[in-house]
Amino acid sequence: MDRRDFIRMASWAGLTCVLPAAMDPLRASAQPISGSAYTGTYWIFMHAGGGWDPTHLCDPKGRATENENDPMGRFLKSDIRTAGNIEYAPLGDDGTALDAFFQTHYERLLVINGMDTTTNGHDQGTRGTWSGRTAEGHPPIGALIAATHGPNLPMPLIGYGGYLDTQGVTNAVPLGDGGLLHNLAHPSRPDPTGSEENYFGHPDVPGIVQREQQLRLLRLQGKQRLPRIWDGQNELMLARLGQDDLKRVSESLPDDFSNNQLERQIQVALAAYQAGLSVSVSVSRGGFDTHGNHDGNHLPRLIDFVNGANFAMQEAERMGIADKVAVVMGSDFGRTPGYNNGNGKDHWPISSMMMMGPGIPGNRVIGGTDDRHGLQLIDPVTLLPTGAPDTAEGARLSIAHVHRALRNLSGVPNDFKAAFPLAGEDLPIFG
Amino acid sequence: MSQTCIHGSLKGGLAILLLGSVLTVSGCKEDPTLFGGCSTQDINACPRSDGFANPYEAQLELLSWTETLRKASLELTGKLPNESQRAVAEVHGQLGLEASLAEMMRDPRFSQRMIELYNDHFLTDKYLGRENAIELLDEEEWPNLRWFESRFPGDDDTALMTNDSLAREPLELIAHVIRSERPFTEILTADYTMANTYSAFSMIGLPDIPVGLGDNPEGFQEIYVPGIPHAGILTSAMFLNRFPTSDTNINRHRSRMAYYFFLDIDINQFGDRPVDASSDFGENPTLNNPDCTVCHTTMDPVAGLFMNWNENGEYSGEGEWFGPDYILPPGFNGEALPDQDRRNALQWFAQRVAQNPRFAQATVKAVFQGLTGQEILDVTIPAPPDMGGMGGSDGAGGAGGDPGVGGMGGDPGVGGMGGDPGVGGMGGDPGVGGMGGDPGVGGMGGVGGSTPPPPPPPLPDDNPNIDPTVDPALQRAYNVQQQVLRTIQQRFIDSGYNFKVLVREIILSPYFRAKNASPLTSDLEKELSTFGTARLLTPELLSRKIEATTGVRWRSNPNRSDYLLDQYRIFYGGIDSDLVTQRVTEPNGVMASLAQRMAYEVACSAVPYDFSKPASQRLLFPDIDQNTALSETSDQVREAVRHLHDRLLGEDLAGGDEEIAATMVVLMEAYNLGRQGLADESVPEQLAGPCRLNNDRITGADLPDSRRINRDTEYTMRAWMAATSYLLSDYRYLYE
Repeated sequence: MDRRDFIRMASWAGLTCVLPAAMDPLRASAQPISGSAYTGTYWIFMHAGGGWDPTHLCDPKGRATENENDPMGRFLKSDIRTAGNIEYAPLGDDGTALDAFFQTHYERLLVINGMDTTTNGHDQGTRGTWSGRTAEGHPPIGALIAATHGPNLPMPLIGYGGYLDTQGVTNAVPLGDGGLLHNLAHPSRPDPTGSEENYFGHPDVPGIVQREQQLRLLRLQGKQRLPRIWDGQNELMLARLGQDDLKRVSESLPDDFSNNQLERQIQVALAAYQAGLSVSVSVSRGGFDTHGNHDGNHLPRLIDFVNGANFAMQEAERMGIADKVAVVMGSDFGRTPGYNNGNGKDHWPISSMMMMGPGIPGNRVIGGTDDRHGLQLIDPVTLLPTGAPDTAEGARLSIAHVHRALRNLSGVPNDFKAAFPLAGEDLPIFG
Repeated sequence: MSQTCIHGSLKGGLAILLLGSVLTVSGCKEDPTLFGGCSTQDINACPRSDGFANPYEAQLELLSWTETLRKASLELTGKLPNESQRAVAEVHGQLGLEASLAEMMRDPRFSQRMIELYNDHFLTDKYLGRENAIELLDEEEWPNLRWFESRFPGDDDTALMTNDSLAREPLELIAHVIRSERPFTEILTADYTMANTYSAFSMIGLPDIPVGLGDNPEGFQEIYVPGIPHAGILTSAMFLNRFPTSDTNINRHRSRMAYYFFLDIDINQFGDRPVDASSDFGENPTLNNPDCTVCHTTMDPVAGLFMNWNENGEYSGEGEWFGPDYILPPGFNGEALPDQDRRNALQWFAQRVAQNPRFAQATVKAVFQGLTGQEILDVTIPAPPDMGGMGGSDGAGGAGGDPGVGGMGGDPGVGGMGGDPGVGGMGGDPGVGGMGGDPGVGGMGGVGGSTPPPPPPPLPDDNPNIDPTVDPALQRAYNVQQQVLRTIQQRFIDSGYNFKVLVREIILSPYFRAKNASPLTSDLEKELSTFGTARLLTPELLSRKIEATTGVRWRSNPNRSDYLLDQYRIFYGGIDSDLVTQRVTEPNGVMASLAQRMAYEVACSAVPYDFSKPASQRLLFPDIDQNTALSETSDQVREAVRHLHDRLLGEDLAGGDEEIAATMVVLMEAYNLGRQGLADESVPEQLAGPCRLNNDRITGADLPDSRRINRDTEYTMRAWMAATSYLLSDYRYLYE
């Protein structure tokens, strides 16, 4: 039974179907079920778990000479690379490991440097980077956008990792990274990617089972008067409506999955978007908390991570949806200037974010830091650095500023903004 | 009777381990317990509960005692009640149920269920697998940590067992206290920890001469690690690692979680958290800025009580903490930590938590939510601590000091504890505090530096005010629920904190038993909105229910894990205690599809398997066989359907019930379609590959020819599979 059939059936039964959380004041405006597919911007949030090092990425520092004491990095400043107005670190054996990303996408890429996360705690930093507030209680921006644009979709926010405490505004759906999805898209087939034979040997028997399941649920619901149980039955009924949607995702999946888990997750998420079922996805790659052997452990992960973003855009182009996809990259916080005794780097509250997509002006760097990755204030109009806090005037670029802008850009409504307020004022981060 | 072991027998550490098997049996004794003699065979030996009146007798319909029994049995043990339990509940009602519960709570699967319940809070199962727990511990502190490398080189199983035994230490303590019916407060006050032979070797040591692993090396016992002042879970290395600290956090996270877990206090609710990152918080805001002190005055003194435990959960025993000009001195609930208790500060803390009624409140909350899957209604205004005695809102209190710094919660600028950082302090950099210094020396600064610091504020009122803006019907719902919960709490306390009493009372309560209501007004609908468990089963609960009801497990073959505990666990809303720590409680399309696949695959596995067994051993089809002709008019078939409803859904239906008729529709429609297909050869006689039965579904052993089923020439097998999968994916199967 598809969604339309169900609605028709529900209507015959005299039922009004609304989202199960319609009792929630935050979702009081939930609309009756509709079968419309989401075609707006698809938001991919990429979390570098553990605290990344922007000085080896989009806020490159390096060292002036090979003999410099306490260097910020082991590459030479003179080797720092540029793509348009954006500087980036020369990683990899020949210093070009990040070229594929920056040289390809700089015209769409916005770099935010010198962002003060105000914390060096992993949990707080992760929450802050993705919700705009380090304290608990705010959902990630991906959840707000999903709840705004896809409250009726079966998988508005696909959650593979990162900060996923949605505070009830929507559910983060873990969708697996490929193969198992086929099993769920075709639950009656022993071999979902092979034979069309089902467990019953007759193609219509699963349909009988599913039809009668929903009819029974309607009968149970018709007799149930305790709202908690009625709501539970409603949840299941609505969830079942999403079953057929999985087939659409399954059909949109590429034949060849990437060998890289992060890339596979992106492939599934893009397939879900192409099926009109998803608004955002949160993916994560860990291992950035490199208190020891920073260069050996951290830099390869940075390269992989950035290549993951590059892969997302390549896939989007292959699918013909590149102009609809936004990628936002961030991490818990940054890493301390210089190396500790174990050649590692510890926690540092100053960090960066990178993003691109519809409405995000590219080839632009806002904010900045000093040579030791120290905080610089910014001009609230130009968003260019004005100097250190004790000598200059300006605003302290915070995660809240970034999230205020992201909320505005993505159309998060005022009731969500009021329910989850952010500090500070609006800055023209996206122009 | 329960088995307990005297940890004193193990205090000798190495010497005792020379006996090899001492950990398994030596030093154990049997203590009488409240539920020890209670069983369905001897219900007179059962401690009686006063039970609960139905608070809405005219409207609220409760499960019968036998229905409650089934639900409780699946919840507590993952099994269906046995015949004796069913009979005694049928005949003796509540008393019979209580006797059955006592039996269930002696079942080892009950212990596992409680471990599961508490892991949802403590999340220490994160460290199961590989060497995840071992790697947390420092070999300099635990020189025998990797004892297995020398004793069993290359033996990955022993290494894994050691790791998992170390990881399970805090949860096994909970299981032990529950099992032995000790006061549940012992999860904090235990002056021992839990280990089996594998982990005890890591913790205590390995003798030089070869020893065996004993008769029951996997069984957990109490052990005392010399030199460590155990305070139950609070001093568990796994717990301390799971809730870590850092140089800047200085145990505040641990403090916050201790309040949350053991006192039902969410410090974050005390006040608005500062959100303006660009504002100037002033000097040492956690001590001086009222926006911060509203939480920190409660949090920081308890953070200090963790002073002896470093980020790896290792005990230093130094009793050193920062100076009071940096962070409030250690203490709890209106009481400063005495100097003589600094080296065992957590034991001091544990004793006080255990005596506080909030401990019982927190336990009731955790277990109620765990067993019902239902959040407790809260319509109160968060009550921050009363800080009247801290800084003195009238300016009279406080320890003096620089008025410019401000007070601890009183009127800024009046009184206060700040003091001149150059005068007081416990060593270290003025203004920053320091780790050094003689404990107890120094002072709070301020005038003379000799005034003892004020103790931390008392805990907030455990009976907070209701928010008057909340709908009155919800206020009534809150009051009714609180009345029941307070009754449960008091009975728990009166029993000497016997956890089994707590479980029993929750199951007897109308919140566990409510199943429907008479027609309700809109107001009553709100008032009864807290009744009725509509909990989507967790992957673990569903996995057990599948086995209990169908006799098969949902897995690819007997050598593999259950799907719901392995590859589908996260898909179905479960947790991995690491990256995914919150269960998904509302199903989504993925979960619905997964449940659908489960229903098809389990039916495919269970139906042929059940038919292959002798009738007396069948669970699903005891009264028909695979050759029984299917017909809409057959009483035998209708009775078989009625049995399936009872077995799978716990529905005791009359033969003429519309639900029996609906299941008959599935059965007969599938049957008729299949028969047509067989006739026109569009449907194969062969069962689909995974449904064919040649090996025992449980053991994997080859089956004799007489039990093998590969063909379904009449389409009866697949018709029954359709009817069975219809019920396996039903609301009443997926929810409890």
